[in-house]
Amino acid sequence: MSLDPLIKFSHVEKVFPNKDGQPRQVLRDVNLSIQEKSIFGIIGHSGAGKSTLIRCINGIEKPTGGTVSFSGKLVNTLKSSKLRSLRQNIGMIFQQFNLMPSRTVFENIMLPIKYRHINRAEARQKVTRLLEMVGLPDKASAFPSELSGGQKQRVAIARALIDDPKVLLCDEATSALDPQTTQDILTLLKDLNHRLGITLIIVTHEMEVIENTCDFVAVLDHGKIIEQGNVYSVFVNPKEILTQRFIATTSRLELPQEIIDSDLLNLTGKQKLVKITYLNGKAMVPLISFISRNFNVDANIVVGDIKILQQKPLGGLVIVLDGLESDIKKALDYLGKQEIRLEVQNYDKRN
Amino acid sequence: MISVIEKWFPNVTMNASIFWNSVGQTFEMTIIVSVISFVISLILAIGLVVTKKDGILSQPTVWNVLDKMVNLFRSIPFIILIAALIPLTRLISGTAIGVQGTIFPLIVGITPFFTRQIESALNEVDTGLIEVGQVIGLSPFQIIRSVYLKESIPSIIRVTTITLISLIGLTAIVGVVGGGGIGDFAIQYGYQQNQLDATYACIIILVVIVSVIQAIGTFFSRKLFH
Ligand SMILES: Nc1ncnc2c1ncn2[C@@H]1O[C@H](COP(=O)(O)OP(=O)(O)OP(=O)(O)O)[C@@H](O)[C@H]1O
Ligand SMILES: [Mg+2]
Repeated sequence: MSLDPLIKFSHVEKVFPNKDGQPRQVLRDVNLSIQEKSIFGIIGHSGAGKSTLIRCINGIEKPTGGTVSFSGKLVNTLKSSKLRSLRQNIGMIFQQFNLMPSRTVFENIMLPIKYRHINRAEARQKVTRLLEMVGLPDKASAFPSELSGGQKQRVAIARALIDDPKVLLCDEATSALDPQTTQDILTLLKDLNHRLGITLIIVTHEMEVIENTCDFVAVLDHGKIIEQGNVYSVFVNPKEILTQRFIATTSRLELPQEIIDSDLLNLTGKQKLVKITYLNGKAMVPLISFISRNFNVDANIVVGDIKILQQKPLGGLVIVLDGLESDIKKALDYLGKQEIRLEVQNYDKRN
Repeated sequence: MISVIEKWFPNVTMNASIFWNSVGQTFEMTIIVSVISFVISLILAIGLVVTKKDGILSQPTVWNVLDKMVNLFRSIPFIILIAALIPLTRLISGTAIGVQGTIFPLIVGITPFFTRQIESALNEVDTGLIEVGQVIGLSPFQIIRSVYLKESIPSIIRVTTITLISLIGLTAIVGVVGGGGIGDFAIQYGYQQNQLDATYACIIILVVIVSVIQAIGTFFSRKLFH
Protein backbone atom coordinates (compact mmCIF):
# COMPACT_ATOMS: atom_id res chain seq x y z
CA MET A 1 0.00 0.00 0.00
CA SER A 2 1.64 3.21 -1.01
CA LEU A 3 -0.18 6.31 0.16
CA ASP A 4 0.62 9.80 -0.98
CA PRO A 5 2.88 11.23 1.68
CA LEU A 6 1.57 14.08 3.82
CA ILE A 7 4.86 15.93 3.50
CA LYS A 8 7.27 15.56 0.65
CA PHE A 9 10.68 17.14 0.09
CA SER A 10 12.06 16.87 -3.45
CA HIS A 11 15.64 17.93 -4.10
CA VAL A 12 15.42 20.69 -1.52
CA GLU A 13 18.40 23.04 -1.36
CA LYS A 14 18.94 25.98 0.95
CA VAL A 15 21.74 28.48 0.53
CA PHE A 16 22.07 31.38 2.94
CA PRO A 17 23.70 34.47 1.50
CA ASN A 18 26.58 35.63 3.62
CA LYS A 19 27.98 39.05 4.28
CA ASP A 20 31.57 38.10 3.47
CA GLY A 21 30.52 36.91 0.02
CA GLN A 22 30.75 33.23 0.91
CA PRO A 23 27.25 31.78 0.48
CA ARG A 24 26.52 28.98 2.91
CA GLN A 25 24.79 25.85 1.69
CA VAL A 26 22.79 24.48 4.58
CA LEU A 27 20.58 21.88 2.82
CA ARG A 28 21.74 19.72 -0.09
CA ASP A 29 19.40 17.67 -2.26
CA VAL A 30 17.08 16.71 0.57
CA ASN A 31 14.45 14.12 -0.36
CA LEU A 32 11.94 12.99 2.24
CA SER A 33 8.49 11.45 2.30
CA ILE A 34 6.60 11.63 5.55
CA GLN A 35 3.40 9.62 5.84
CA GLU A 36 0.36 10.83 7.68
CA LYS A 37 0.09 9.67 11.31
CA SER A 38 3.72 8.55 11.46
CA ILE A 39 6.40 9.67 13.89
CA PHE A 40 9.36 10.84 11.86
CA GLY A 41 12.69 11.63 13.49
CA ILE A 42 15.46 13.78 12.07
CA ILE A 43 18.81 13.49 13.80
CA GLY A 44 22.02 15.39 13.23
CA HIS A 45 24.75 17.27 15.01
CA SER A 46 24.50 20.95 15.86
CA GLY A 47 24.60 23.02 12.69
CA ALA A 48 23.65 20.10 10.43
CA GLY A 49 20.62 22.06 9.22
CA LYS A 50 17.85 20.34 11.19
CA SER A 51 16.04 23.52 12.19
CA THR A 52 16.34 24.90 8.68
CA LEU A 53 14.87 21.69 7.27
CA ILE A 54 11.91 21.51 9.64
CA ARG A 55 11.18 25.22 9.10
CA CYS A 56 10.76 24.59 5.38
CA ILE A 57 7.63 22.59 6.22
CA ASN A 58 5.70 25.59 7.55
CA GLY A 59 7.39 28.04 5.22
CA ILE A 60 9.34 29.97 7.86
CA GLU A 61 12.35 29.21 5.67
CA LYS A 62 12.08 29.24 1.90
CA PRO A 63 14.14 26.65 0.03
CA THR A 64 16.42 28.09 -2.64
CA GLY A 65 15.90 24.98 -4.76
CA GLY A 66 13.56 22.00 -5.01
CA THR A 67 10.05 21.74 -3.65
CA VAL A 68 8.29 21.06 -0.38
CA SER A 69 4.69 19.91 -0.47
CA PHE A 70 2.13 19.52 2.27
CA SER A 71 -1.06 17.53 1.55
CA GLY A 72 -0.17 17.78 -2.12
CA LYS A 73 0.12 21.58 -2.05
CA LEU A 74 3.43 23.30 -2.74
CA VAL A 75 4.53 25.18 0.36
CA ASN A 76 7.42 27.12 -1.09
CA THR A 77 5.35 29.07 -3.60
CA LEU A 78 2.43 29.97 -1.32
CA LYS A 79 1.60 33.65 -0.91
CA SER A 80 1.71 35.01 2.61
CA SER A 81 -2.02 34.87 3.33
CA LYS A 82 -2.25 31.26 2.09
CA LEU A 83 0.87 30.45 4.05
CA ARG A 84 -0.78 31.74 7.23
CA SER A 85 -3.77 29.46 6.80
CA LEU A 86 -1.43 26.55 6.07
CA ARG A 87 0.37 27.26 9.34
CA GLN A 88 -2.86 26.73 11.22
CA ASN A 89 -2.54 23.07 10.15
CA ILE A 90 1.01 22.79 11.44
CA GLY A 91 1.78 23.13 15.13
CA MET A 92 5.33 23.69 16.32
CA ILE A 93 7.16 23.44 19.62
CA PHE A 94 10.69 24.56 20.45
CA GLN A 95 13.66 23.86 22.67
CA GLN A 96 13.16 27.11 24.58
CA PHE A 97 9.35 26.67 24.78
CA ASN A 98 8.79 30.26 23.59
CA LEU A 99 5.79 31.05 25.75
CA MET A 100 4.72 34.68 25.97
CA PRO A 101 5.96 35.80 29.40
CA SER A 102 3.32 38.51 29.80
CA ARG A 103 0.41 36.15 29.18
CA THR A 104 -1.12 33.54 31.44
CA VAL A 105 -1.14 29.90 30.42
CA PHE A 106 -4.73 30.32 29.27
CA GLU A 107 -3.92 33.39 27.15
CA ASN A 108 -0.88 31.67 25.69
CA ILE A 109 -2.95 28.73 24.52
CA MET A 110 -5.63 31.06 23.11
CA LEU A 111 -3.16 33.25 21.22
CA PRO A 112 -3.29 31.34 17.89
CA ILE A 113 -7.07 31.84 17.66
CA LYS A 114 -7.24 35.26 19.30
CA TYR A 115 -7.97 37.06 16.04
CA ARG A 116 -10.35 34.44 14.69
CA HIS A 117 -14.11 34.77 14.80
CA ILE A 118 -14.73 32.07 17.33
CA ASN A 119 -17.24 31.10 19.91
CA ARG A 120 -15.61 32.26 23.13
CA ALA A 121 -17.34 29.71 25.34
CA GLU A 122 -16.36 26.83 23.06
CA ALA A 123 -12.78 28.10 22.93
CA ARG A 124 -12.65 28.22 26.70
CA GLN A 125 -13.83 24.64 26.92
CA LYS A 126 -11.28 23.60 24.37
CA VAL A 127 -8.44 25.18 26.33
CA THR A 128 -9.66 23.42 29.46
CA ARG A 129 -9.75 20.11 27.60
CA LEU A 130 -6.24 20.67 26.19
CA LEU A 131 -4.89 21.53 29.63
CA GLU A 132 -6.29 18.28 30.91
CA MET A 133 -4.82 16.40 27.99
CA VAL A 134 -1.32 17.73 28.69
CA GLY A 135 -1.73 17.11 32.42
CA LEU A 136 -1.97 20.70 33.71
CA PRO A 137 -5.68 21.11 34.55
CA ASP A 138 -5.07 23.64 37.34
CA LYS A 139 -2.54 25.95 35.71
CA ALA A 140 -4.76 28.07 33.47
CA SER A 141 -4.13 31.31 35.32
CA ALA A 142 -0.43 30.78 36.06
CA PHE A 143 2.25 32.79 34.29
CA PRO A 144 5.04 30.93 32.43
CA SER A 145 7.62 32.17 34.94
CA GLU A 146 5.82 30.12 37.59
CA LEU A 147 6.20 26.83 35.68
CA SER A 148 8.98 24.24 35.42
CA GLY A 149 10.56 23.44 32.06
CA GLY A 150 8.46 20.33 31.55
CA GLN A 151 5.28 22.23 32.41
CA LYS A 152 6.22 25.01 29.99
CA GLN A 153 6.66 22.48 27.21
CA ARG A 154 3.25 21.01 28.02
CA VAL A 155 1.69 24.45 27.70
CA ALA A 156 3.52 24.93 24.40
CA ILE A 157 2.10 21.60 23.21
CA ALA A 158 -1.41 22.68 24.20
CA ARG A 159 -0.91 25.96 22.32
CA ALA A 160 0.24 24.05 19.26
CA LEU A 161 -2.86 21.83 19.40
CA ILE A 162 -5.53 24.55 19.73
CA ASP A 163 -6.04 24.61 15.96
CA ASP A 164 -6.32 20.79 15.64
CA PRO A 165 -3.23 20.61 13.42
CA LYS A 166 -2.41 17.59 11.30
CA VAL A 167 1.26 17.83 12.13
CA LEU A 168 3.31 18.80 15.13
CA LEU A 169 6.87 19.92 14.44
CA CYS A 170 9.15 19.42 17.43
CA ASP A 171 12.47 21.26 17.14
CA GLU A 172 14.69 19.88 19.93
CA ALA A 173 11.62 19.95 22.14
CA THR A 174 13.26 17.94 24.91
CA SER A 175 16.83 19.19 24.67
CA ALA A 176 16.44 21.62 27.57
CA LEU A 177 14.83 19.05 29.86
CA ASP A 178 16.23 16.51 32.31
CA PRO A 179 16.05 12.79 31.40
CA GLN A 180 12.91 12.02 33.40
CA THR A 181 11.03 15.06 32.06
CA THR A 182 12.24 14.20 28.56
CA GLN A 183 10.68 10.75 28.97
CA ASP A 184 7.40 12.25 30.21
CA ILE A 185 7.16 14.68 27.29
CA LEU A 186 8.02 11.96 24.76
CA THR A 187 5.35 9.72 26.29
CA LEU A 188 2.84 12.56 25.99
CA LEU A 189 3.79 13.12 22.33
CA LYS A 190 3.47 9.42 21.51
CA ASP A 191 0.11 9.38 23.24
CA LEU A 192 -1.07 12.32 21.10
CA ASN A 193 0.05 10.44 18.02
CA HIS A 194 -1.95 7.37 19.04
CA ARG A 195 -5.05 9.16 20.25
CA LEU A 196 -5.35 12.00 17.77
CA GLY A 197 -3.46 10.50 14.84
CA ILE A 198 -1.32 13.62 14.68
CA THR A 199 1.83 13.29 12.58
CA LEU A 200 4.96 14.07 14.60
CA ILE A 201 8.21 15.33 13.18
CA ILE A 202 10.88 15.20 15.82
CA VAL A 203 14.21 16.95 15.39
CA THR A 204 16.90 15.97 17.86
CA HIS A 205 20.58 15.34 18.36
CA GLU A 206 19.90 12.49 20.78
CA MET A 207 19.55 9.00 19.34
CA GLU A 208 17.66 7.91 22.47
CA VAL A 209 14.80 10.21 21.52
CA ILE A 210 14.62 8.53 18.11
CA GLU A 211 14.87 5.09 19.64
CA ASN A 212 12.12 5.76 22.18
CA THR A 213 9.67 7.55 19.99
CA CYS A 214 10.04 7.36 16.24
CA ASP A 215 8.87 5.01 13.50
CA PHE A 216 11.18 6.45 10.85
CA VAL A 217 14.47 8.26 11.03
CA ALA A 218 16.56 10.41 8.71
CA VAL A 219 20.17 11.18 9.54
CA LEU A 220 21.27 14.66 8.48
CA ASP A 221 24.96 15.42 8.07
CA HIS A 222 26.15 18.80 6.80
CA GLY A 223 22.80 19.41 5.12
CA LYS A 224 22.61 16.02 3.41
CA ILE A 225 20.40 13.11 4.36
CA ILE A 226 22.95 10.33 4.51
CA GLU A 227 20.62 7.57 5.65
CA GLN A 228 16.92 7.10 6.27
CA GLY A 229 14.42 4.36 6.89
CA ASN A 230 12.45 2.45 9.44
CA VAL A 231 13.99 2.96 12.88
CA TYR A 232 14.40 -0.76 13.56
CA SER A 233 16.16 -1.50 10.32
CA VAL A 234 18.44 1.51 10.67
CA PHE A 235 19.32 0.51 14.22
CA VAL A 236 19.98 -3.09 13.28
CA ASN A 237 21.95 -2.34 10.19
CA PRO A 238 23.33 1.20 10.09
CA LYS A 239 25.30 1.82 6.91
CA GLU A 240 26.98 5.15 7.55
CA ILE A 241 29.65 5.77 10.14
CA LEU A 242 27.79 8.76 11.58
CA THR A 243 24.66 6.64 12.03
CA GLN A 244 26.71 3.93 13.72
CA ARG A 245 28.19 6.53 16.05
CA PHE A 246 24.75 7.86 16.95
CA ILE A 247 23.54 4.33 17.64
CA ALA A 248 26.61 3.56 19.73
CA THR A 249 25.53 6.36 22.09
CA THR A 250 22.44 4.31 22.96
CA SER A 251 24.17 0.96 23.25
CA ARG A 252 26.24 -0.49 26.03
CA LEU A 253 27.47 -3.29 23.83
CA GLU A 254 30.88 -1.79 23.27
CA LEU A 255 33.50 -3.30 25.53
CA PRO A 256 35.50 -0.52 27.13
CA GLN A 257 39.23 -0.75 26.62
CA GLU A 258 39.75 -0.72 30.40
CA ILE A 259 37.98 -4.04 30.74
CA ILE A 260 40.11 -5.55 28.02
CA ASP A 261 43.27 -4.13 29.56
CA SER A 262 42.36 -5.28 33.02
CA ASP A 263 42.84 -8.86 34.07
CA LEU A 264 39.12 -9.30 34.59
CA LEU A 265 38.61 -11.18 31.35
CA ASN A 266 41.90 -12.93 31.61
CA LEU A 267 41.84 -13.87 27.94
CA THR A 268 44.18 -16.61 26.92
CA GLY A 269 45.34 -17.28 23.40
CA LYS A 270 42.76 -19.85 22.47
CA GLN A 271 39.74 -18.00 23.88
CA LYS A 272 37.67 -15.93 21.49
CA LEU A 273 35.83 -12.73 22.25
CA VAL A 274 32.67 -12.71 20.16
CA LYS A 275 30.05 -10.03 19.60
CA ILE A 276 26.61 -11.13 18.50
CA THR A 277 24.02 -8.60 17.30
CA TYR A 278 20.38 -9.23 16.51
CA LEU A 279 19.35 -8.74 12.94
CA ASN A 280 15.69 -9.64 12.86
CA GLY A 281 14.61 -10.15 16.38
CA LYS A 282 15.15 -13.91 16.85
CA ALA A 283 15.58 -15.08 20.39
CA MET A 284 19.22 -15.44 21.32
CA VAL A 285 19.45 -17.25 24.59
CA PRO A 286 18.86 -20.71 23.06
CA LEU A 287 21.85 -20.04 20.78
CA ILE A 288 24.16 -19.78 23.74
CA SER A 289 22.95 -22.91 25.45
CA PHE A 290 22.84 -24.71 22.10
CA ILE A 291 26.49 -24.10 21.30
CA SER A 292 27.67 -24.97 24.79
CA ARG A 293 25.76 -28.23 24.74
CA ASN A 294 26.50 -29.30 21.19
CA PHE A 295 30.04 -28.08 20.64
CA ASN A 296 31.31 -28.53 24.16
CA VAL A 297 32.46 -24.92 24.54
CA ASP A 298 31.99 -22.60 27.48
CA ALA A 299 30.13 -19.44 26.54
CA ASN A 300 30.68 -16.79 29.14
CA ILE A 301 28.51 -13.67 28.73
CA VAL A 302 30.59 -10.56 29.37
CA VAL A 303 28.23 -7.78 28.31
CA GLY A 304 24.61 -7.89 27.30
CA ASP A 305 22.36 -5.11 26.09
CA ILE A 306 18.96 -6.06 24.84
CA LYS A 307 15.95 -3.82 24.48
CA ILE A 308 12.65 -3.91 22.71
CA LEU A 309 12.20 -1.62 19.72
CA GLN A 310 8.98 -1.67 17.73
CA GLN A 311 8.04 -4.89 19.53
CA LYS A 312 11.25 -6.59 18.38
CA PRO A 313 14.36 -7.24 20.42
CA LEU A 314 17.36 -5.13 19.57
CA GLY A 315 20.89 -5.36 20.84
CA GLY A 316 23.19 -8.27 21.47
CA LEU A 317 25.78 -9.93 23.62
CA VAL A 318 29.51 -10.01 23.99
CA ILE A 319 30.66 -13.50 24.97
CA VAL A 320 33.93 -15.29 25.57
CA LEU A 321 34.16 -18.73 24.00
CA ASP A 322 36.47 -21.18 25.66
CA GLY A 323 37.31 -24.78 24.80
CA LEU A 324 39.22 -26.77 22.24
CA GLU A 325 40.25 -24.77 19.20
CA SER A 326 38.38 -27.11 16.87
CA ASP A 327 35.25 -26.94 19.00
CA ILE A 328 35.35 -23.14 19.05
CA LYS A 329 35.70 -23.15 15.28
CA LYS A 330 32.65 -25.39 14.92
CA ALA A 331 30.64 -23.17 17.26
CA LEU A 332 31.61 -20.09 15.28
CA ASP A 333 30.67 -21.78 12.02
CA TYR A 334 27.29 -22.58 13.48
CA LEU A 335 26.75 -19.05 14.74
CA GLY A 336 27.81 -17.67 11.36
CA LYS A 337 24.90 -19.46 9.73
CA GLN A 338 22.31 -17.87 12.03
CA GLU A 339 20.45 -14.65 11.33
CA ILE A 340 22.71 -12.61 13.51
CA ARG A 341 25.72 -10.41 12.94
CA LEU A 342 28.80 -12.14 14.27
CA GLU A 343 31.99 -10.28 15.01
CA VAL A 344 35.00 -12.14 16.36
CA GLN A 345 36.81 -9.38 18.09
CA ASN A 346 40.52 -9.28 18.29
CA TYR A 347 40.84 -7.17 21.36
CA ASP A 348 44.55 -6.76 21.64
CA LYS A 349 45.60 -6.32 25.13
CA ARG A 350 47.78 -3.26 25.24
CA ASN A 351 51.35 -3.70 26.52
CA MET B 1 7.17 77.00 57.84
CA ILE B 2 6.21 79.94 55.63
CA SER B 3 8.66 82.12 57.46
CA VAL B 4 11.44 79.57 56.96
CA ILE B 5 10.79 79.61 53.20
CA GLU B 6 10.68 83.42 53.26
CA LYS B 7 13.98 83.46 55.11
CA TRP B 8 15.82 81.07 52.83
CA PHE B 9 14.16 81.97 49.49
CA PRO B 10 13.39 85.70 49.71
CA ASN B 11 13.42 86.36 45.98
CA VAL B 12 11.36 83.33 45.15
CA THR B 13 8.78 84.33 47.75
CA MET B 14 8.62 87.78 46.20
CA ASN B 15 7.95 86.27 42.75
CA ALA B 16 6.02 83.26 43.93
CA SER B 17 3.28 83.43 41.31
CA ILE B 18 5.82 83.76 38.48
CA PHE B 19 7.75 80.81 39.92
CA TRP B 20 4.73 78.52 40.13
CA ASN B 21 3.62 79.70 36.73
CA SER B 22 6.94 78.57 35.26
CA VAL B 23 6.64 75.20 37.02
CA GLY B 24 3.24 74.89 35.35
CA GLN B 25 4.79 75.78 31.98
CA THR B 26 7.38 73.05 32.41
CA PHE B 27 4.60 70.54 33.04
CA GLU B 28 2.67 71.84 30.05
CA MET B 29 5.65 71.52 27.72
CA THR B 30 6.60 68.10 29.05
CA ILE B 31 3.12 66.66 28.76
CA ILE B 32 2.29 68.00 25.28
CA VAL B 33 5.69 67.13 23.84
CA SER B 34 5.87 63.67 25.40
CA VAL B 35 2.42 62.66 24.17
CA ILE B 36 3.06 63.77 20.59
CA SER B 37 6.63 62.46 20.57
CA PHE B 38 5.55 59.12 22.03
CA VAL B 39 3.16 58.50 19.15
CA ILE B 40 5.71 59.52 16.49
CA SER B 41 8.55 57.60 18.16
CA LEU B 42 6.47 54.46 18.53
CA ILE B 43 5.59 54.50 14.84
CA LEU B 44 9.22 55.14 13.82
CA ALA B 45 10.56 52.49 16.20
CA ILE B 46 8.09 49.88 14.94
CA GLY B 47 9.09 50.88 11.40
CA LEU B 48 12.76 50.36 12.22
CA VAL B 49 12.19 47.00 13.90
CA VAL B 50 9.96 45.42 11.26
CA THR B 51 11.87 46.66 8.19
CA LYS B 52 15.34 45.68 9.38
CA LYS B 53 17.14 42.73 7.81
CA ASP B 54 15.42 39.59 9.19
CA GLY B 55 12.49 41.77 10.32
CA ILE B 56 8.94 40.54 9.79
CA LEU B 57 8.47 43.00 6.90
CA SER B 58 12.10 43.31 5.87
CA GLN B 59 12.61 46.39 3.66
CA PRO B 60 16.31 47.29 3.76
CA THR B 61 15.88 50.54 1.81
CA VAL B 62 13.14 51.86 4.08
CA TRP B 63 15.15 50.82 7.12
CA ASN B 64 18.22 52.62 5.81
CA VAL B 65 16.35 55.88 5.26
CA LEU B 66 14.71 55.76 8.71
CA ASP B 67 17.96 54.83 10.41
CA LYS B 68 19.96 57.61 8.73
CA MET B 69 17.29 60.20 9.49
CA VAL B 70 17.18 59.34 13.15
CA ASN B 71 20.97 59.45 13.34
CA LEU B 72 21.12 62.79 11.57
CA PHE B 73 18.78 64.49 14.02
CA ARG B 74 20.39 62.84 17.01
CA SER B 75 23.77 64.25 16.06
CA ILE B 76 22.66 67.91 16.17
CA PRO B 77 23.12 69.53 19.61
CA PHE B 78 19.74 70.71 20.87
CA ILE B 79 20.69 74.36 21.28
CA ILE B 80 21.79 74.50 17.63
CA LEU B 81 18.69 72.60 16.54
CA ILE B 82 16.45 75.25 18.17
CA ALA B 83 18.16 78.00 16.21
CA ALA B 84 18.12 76.05 12.96
CA LEU B 85 14.42 75.31 13.32
CA ILE B 86 13.31 78.91 14.00
CA PRO B 87 11.83 79.58 10.52
CA LEU B 88 10.00 76.25 10.52
CA THR B 89 8.82 76.80 14.11
CA ARG B 90 7.38 80.21 13.15
CA LEU B 91 5.59 78.60 10.24
CA ILE B 92 4.09 75.83 12.34
CA SER B 93 3.42 77.50 15.69
CA GLY B 94 3.08 81.12 14.57
CA THR B 95 5.82 82.12 17.01
CA ALA B 96 9.29 80.98 17.97
CA ILE B 97 9.16 82.10 21.60
CA GLY B 98 7.20 81.24 24.71
CA VAL B 99 5.77 77.83 25.46
CA GLN B 100 3.99 77.72 22.12
CA GLY B 101 7.24 78.29 20.28
CA THR B 102 9.11 75.56 22.14
CA ILE B 103 6.77 72.64 21.46
CA PHE B 104 7.96 72.01 17.91
CA PRO B 105 11.73 72.15 18.55
CA LEU B 106 11.28 70.02 21.66
CA ILE B 107 9.46 67.38 19.63
CA VAL B 108 12.17 67.41 16.98
CA GLY B 109 14.82 67.32 19.69
CA ILE B 110 13.47 64.45 21.77
CA THR B 111 11.86 62.19 19.13
CA PRO B 112 15.09 60.69 17.70
CA PHE B 113 16.23 59.79 21.23
CA PHE B 114 12.79 58.45 22.15
CA THR B 115 12.68 56.43 18.90
CA ARG B 116 16.01 54.75 19.68
CA GLN B 117 14.87 54.02 23.21
CA ILE B 118 11.63 52.37 22.08
CA GLU B 119 13.46 50.58 19.28
CA SER B 120 15.81 48.97 21.78
CA ALA B 121 12.85 48.04 23.99
CA LEU B 122 11.18 46.30 21.02
CA ASN B 123 14.43 44.59 20.04
CA GLU B 124 14.64 43.10 23.52
CA VAL B 125 11.66 40.89 22.65
CA ASP B 126 13.04 37.36 22.16
CA THR B 127 13.23 36.41 18.48
CA GLY B 128 11.75 33.03 19.48
CA LEU B 129 8.52 34.82 20.44
CA ILE B 130 8.36 36.60 17.09
CA GLU B 131 8.88 33.25 15.40
CA VAL B 132 5.97 31.82 17.40
CA GLY B 133 3.81 34.63 16.07
CA GLN B 134 4.69 33.58 12.53
CA VAL B 135 4.35 29.86 13.22
CA ILE B 136 0.82 30.21 14.64
CA GLY B 137 -0.22 32.15 11.57
CA LEU B 138 -0.50 35.73 12.87
CA SER B 139 -0.28 38.58 10.37
CA PRO B 140 2.54 41.13 10.69
CA PHE B 141 0.13 43.65 12.22
CA GLN B 142 -1.05 41.06 14.76
CA ILE B 143 2.56 40.19 15.59
CA ILE B 144 3.34 43.87 16.22
CA ARG B 145 0.33 44.21 18.48
CA SER B 146 0.25 40.91 20.32
CA VAL B 147 3.93 40.09 20.51
CA TYR B 148 6.18 43.13 20.03
CA LEU B 149 4.08 45.68 21.89
CA LYS B 150 2.45 43.38 24.41
CA GLU B 151 5.73 41.79 25.46
CA SER B 152 7.68 45.03 25.70
CA ILE B 153 5.24 47.08 27.81
CA PRO B 154 7.47 47.05 30.91
CA SER B 155 10.52 48.05 28.82
CA ILE B 156 8.56 50.76 27.03
CA ILE B 157 7.50 52.21 30.38
CA ARG B 158 11.11 52.11 31.52
CA VAL B 159 12.45 53.92 28.45
CA THR B 160 9.59 56.42 28.56
CA THR B 161 10.65 57.30 32.09
CA ILE B 162 14.23 57.85 30.93
CA THR B 163 13.00 59.96 28.03
CA LEU B 164 10.71 62.09 30.21
CA ILE B 165 13.66 62.90 32.43
CA SER B 166 15.80 63.88 29.44
CA LEU B 167 12.89 65.91 28.13
CA ILE B 168 12.69 67.89 31.36
CA GLY B 169 16.36 68.70 30.81
CA LEU B 170 15.56 69.95 27.32
CA THR B 171 12.65 72.08 28.55
CA ALA B 172 15.11 73.83 30.84
CA ILE B 173 17.46 74.50 27.89
CA VAL B 174 14.70 76.21 25.91
CA GLY B 175 14.64 78.71 28.78
CA VAL B 176 17.88 80.10 27.33
CA VAL B 177 16.00 81.29 24.27
CA GLY B 178 13.04 82.62 26.21
CA GLY B 179 10.95 79.51 26.02
CA GLY B 180 9.32 79.72 29.45
CA GLY B 181 9.33 77.14 32.20
CA ILE B 182 11.60 76.49 35.15
CA GLY B 183 14.72 76.96 33.04
CA ASP B 184 13.53 80.39 31.97
CA PHE B 185 12.88 81.36 35.60
CA ALA B 186 16.31 80.15 36.66
CA ILE B 187 17.97 82.22 33.94
CA GLN B 188 15.94 85.41 34.40
CA TYR B 189 16.06 85.55 38.18
CA GLY B 190 18.83 83.24 39.25
CA TYR B 191 21.42 83.97 36.58
CA GLN B 192 20.72 87.42 35.14
CA GLN B 193 19.65 89.05 38.45
CA ASN B 194 22.10 86.98 40.44
CA GLN B 195 19.48 85.68 42.88
CA LEU B 196 21.10 82.45 44.00
CA ASP B 197 18.03 81.32 45.97
CA ALA B 198 15.99 81.34 42.75
CA THR B 199 18.49 78.96 41.14
CA TYR B 200 18.40 76.64 44.13
CA ALA B 201 14.61 76.64 44.21
CA CYS B 202 14.64 75.59 40.54
CA ILE B 203 17.08 72.77 41.27
CA ILE B 204 14.99 71.51 44.19
CA ILE B 205 11.76 71.50 42.22
CA LEU B 206 13.47 69.72 39.27
CA VAL B 207 14.91 67.05 41.55
CA VAL B 208 11.46 66.49 43.04
CA ILE B 209 9.80 66.20 39.60
CA VAL B 210 12.46 63.82 38.28
CA SER B 211 12.30 61.63 41.40
CA VAL B 212 8.52 61.39 41.23
CA ILE B 213 8.61 60.43 37.52
CA GLN B 214 11.31 57.85 38.19
CA ALA B 215 9.36 56.36 41.09
CA ILE B 216 6.13 56.12 39.09
CA GLY B 217 7.94 54.61 36.11
CA THR B 218 9.72 52.01 38.22
CA PHE B 219 6.49 51.11 40.00
CA PHE B 220 4.54 50.39 36.81
CA SER B 221 7.42 48.71 35.03
CA ARG B 222 7.81 46.29 37.99
CA LYS B 223 4.10 45.75 38.38
CA LEU B 224 3.65 44.73 34.76
CA PHE B 225 6.70 42.50 34.57
CA HIS B 226 6.07 38.78 34.95
N1 LIG C 1 19.45 33.04 8.68
C1 LIG C 1 20.64 32.45 8.50
N2 LIG C 1 21.63 33.06 7.82
C2 LIG C 1 22.82 32.48 7.64
N3 LIG C 1 23.15 31.26 8.10
C3 LIG C 1 22.22 30.59 8.78
C4 LIG C 1 20.92 31.13 9.03
N4 LIG C 1 20.21 30.23 9.74
C5 LIG C 1 21.03 29.18 9.93
N5 LIG C 1 22.23 29.38 9.36
C6 LIG C 1 23.35 28.44 9.36
O1 LIG C 1 22.89 27.22 8.87
C7 LIG C 1 23.49 26.14 9.57
C8 LIG C 1 22.42 25.19 10.02
O2 LIG C 1 21.61 25.84 10.95
P1 LIG C 1 20.42 25.10 11.70
O3 LIG C 1 19.91 26.02 12.72
O4 LIG C 1 19.47 24.57 10.69
O5 LIG C 1 21.18 23.89 12.38
P2 LIG C 1 20.68 22.84 13.43
O6 LIG C 1 20.98 21.50 12.89
O7 LIG C 1 19.27 23.13 13.81
O8 LIG C 1 21.61 23.10 14.67
P3 LIG C 1 21.31 23.12 16.22
O9 LIG C 1 21.36 21.69 16.67
O10 LIG C 1 22.44 23.91 16.77
O11 LIG C 1 19.98 23.76 16.42
C9 LIG C 1 24.28 26.75 10.71
O12 LIG C 1 25.63 26.67 10.39
C10 LIG C 1 23.84 28.17 10.77
O13 LIG C 1 24.91 29.01 11.09
MG1 LIG D 1 18.30 23.84 15.57
